[in-house]
Amino acid sequence: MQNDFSPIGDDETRDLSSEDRLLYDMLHDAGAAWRTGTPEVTALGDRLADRARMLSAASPSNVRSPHQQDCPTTVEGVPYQTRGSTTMTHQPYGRLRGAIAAFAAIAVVAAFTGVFMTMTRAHVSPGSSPSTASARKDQWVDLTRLDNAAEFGSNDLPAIAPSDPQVVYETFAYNEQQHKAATLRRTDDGGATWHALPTPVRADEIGAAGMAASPLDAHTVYLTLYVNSAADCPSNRVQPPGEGGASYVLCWLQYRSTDGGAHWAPLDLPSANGVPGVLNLDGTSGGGAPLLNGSLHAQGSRLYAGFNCAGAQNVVCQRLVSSTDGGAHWQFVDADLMAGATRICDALPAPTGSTVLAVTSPSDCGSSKQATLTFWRSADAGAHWTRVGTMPTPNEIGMRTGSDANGNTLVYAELPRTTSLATDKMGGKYPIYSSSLADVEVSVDAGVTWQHAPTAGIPSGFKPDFTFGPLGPLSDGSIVVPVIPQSVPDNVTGDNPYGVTLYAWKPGDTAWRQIAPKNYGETSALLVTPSSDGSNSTLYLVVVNRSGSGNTFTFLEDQL
Amino acid sequence: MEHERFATLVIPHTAAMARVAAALVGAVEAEDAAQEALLRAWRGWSAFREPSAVRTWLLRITINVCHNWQVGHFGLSRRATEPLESAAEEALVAVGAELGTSDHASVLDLRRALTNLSDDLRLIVALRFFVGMDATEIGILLDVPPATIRTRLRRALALLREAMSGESALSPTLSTRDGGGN
Repeated sequence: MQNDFSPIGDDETRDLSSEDRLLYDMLHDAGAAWRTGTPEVTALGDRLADRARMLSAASPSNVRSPHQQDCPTTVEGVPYQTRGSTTMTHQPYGRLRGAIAAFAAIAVVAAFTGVFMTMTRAHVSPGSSPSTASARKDQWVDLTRLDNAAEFGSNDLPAIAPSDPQVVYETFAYNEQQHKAATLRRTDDGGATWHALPTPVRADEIGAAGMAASPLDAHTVYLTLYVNSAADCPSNRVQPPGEGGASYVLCWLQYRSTDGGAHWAPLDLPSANGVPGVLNLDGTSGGGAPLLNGSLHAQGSRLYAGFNCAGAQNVVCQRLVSSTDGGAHWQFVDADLMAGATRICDALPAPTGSTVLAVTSPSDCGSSKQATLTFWRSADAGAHWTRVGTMPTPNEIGMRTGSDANGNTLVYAELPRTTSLATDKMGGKYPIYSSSLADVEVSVDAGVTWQHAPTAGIPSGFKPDFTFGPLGPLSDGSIVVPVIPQSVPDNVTGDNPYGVTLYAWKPGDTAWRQIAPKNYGETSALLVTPSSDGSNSTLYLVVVNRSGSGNTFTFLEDQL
Repeated sequence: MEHERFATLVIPHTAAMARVAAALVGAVEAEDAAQEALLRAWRGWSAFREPSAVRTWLLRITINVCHNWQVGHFGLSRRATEPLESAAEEALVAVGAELGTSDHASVLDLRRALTNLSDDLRLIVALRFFVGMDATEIGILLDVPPATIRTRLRRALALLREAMSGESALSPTLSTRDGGGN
């Protein structure tokens, strides 16, 4: 929609009688007169924009409608931390979502090596001094050399290369409206030295940036940008312009580099019926969209990714694409799926072979419509799809694939039940989900049947944190789930003072087992990678430290 | 979705939210309705997963809030067409003035005809002509194929014409604008 009336289309007026056409013209002119003659509506739009800025600067829990009940101010008697004038609680699950992707991608790599070990450790108390980066087997270790001490206004999670975790990419950006120069950098030695990277467009026109390293090659890296200059943006990629203010532009661009970010080339992507899009690779390009966990997934030399429409036409789409040349070119591999459904909710390749799995919905994914979800399987890398059956519940929040000891594919999904449909103060319906480890289900027959995970193994008074879906799997095929106290409200993560503890389970086990100590702070990325000699594995954690004036990252390392 | 990105992605569409709200509940009520829609979007932001669809998502919320506003979920009970009628009347009078006519009767006839349209047709007329959306965007918003929107629009025009022809003929002055093409 533009400021002006959308052009009259031939389809719309071609068959109108002369009288109807007269009415059409009357309404057309009346609407145009109303739009241009109501400055109060324009002023309201400006006030809404101001309000949106205020909301962005505040914590979600600090904002409530007058129709809402008061939010709790304590969790088990512990006040939330207050920083400046803003009461900080939580945050946004998007960062973890995007990052979990890294974990999933790496877990696929790790599954080939079979090097994970079960462990139990002491926890690191909050506020402990950063230590050197010598990993120990009994605790998380702060990696000060990777600490990002610079405060930022808007950027994405650091991207740890799955194939070589010593290679890390970072972005610094400051929101579209600030017009401050964004910077990119890369380390090849775990943060000992950093290399500044060029930006493919003017740095002060970058509003947000996200990077993702290929699971096949640490120096093949993808860069997603929001830019605020029309000069940098093809016309068909400009998001509906103009209405947020004079000359306001929001444009998504995506680039690929095969030399660690030294040189960038626009990514060669297909279009969805003429609508351009971007790969769903990180928090910037996907916003934590669940499709393929917002990351690149490797199956042998083939790559899979989600594809989000991102063009001027603002057409909603969520597609599945694949590349057979290391990510240089991409093709849709979802023709059968799109013929039978309106939305691909989730998709993942099996760790080996050419099997790909997908979940589709006849309407929106995860909405209050509670539509029956369909499970699909492709045995030929997405060229053809077979309908397997329906999912046990209409709520599919995350899916993971792994291999058991015999090489059989395990498909895990978080499938909470709808315990009730709540009604908000505006009369809108939304589902209330169950919150049990039994909501984790596994299929050993490619989605034909599903079985619940047990609930035993975690302390009483604790519950899974499904905000980000299940994690993993580990190399033995186990799925990983973060666990939090029951008393933590469902919408609280981030500065959760209790932290999260990681537990794992696989088919055949009667109980969940703890695999890592509790960590504090806002867990935003979890990455598991085998050591070069295959003797152990290392689990990397990225924690976001939030403050009133900006945010920084802390990296934690632990050897399994 | 990160809450820091809320403003970045939402601001380009606040003018559209304001316009939709004003068209559906009137300029006076639009302030509260649109603010409520914005808060509702904020509360749902962490679960929102499709930034490319943010515009559609925001406008759907706005339409839903306005619908509930009209049917009384906010303690108000308003005729759904009242704001559009007022807007249409004022705008149509302005159009008539531009065309050199003061034929207020046609304006009143059209207002009355709009009042008698069903809710779904009135919504399409409001979004098409007063908000200025095309059939494709309306279809995405209402989860209806664009062709269906065009069909309903023709149906609305036919019903308006029938309603008006039953009361008075269209203004001869306005009729002169009928060129049959565009």
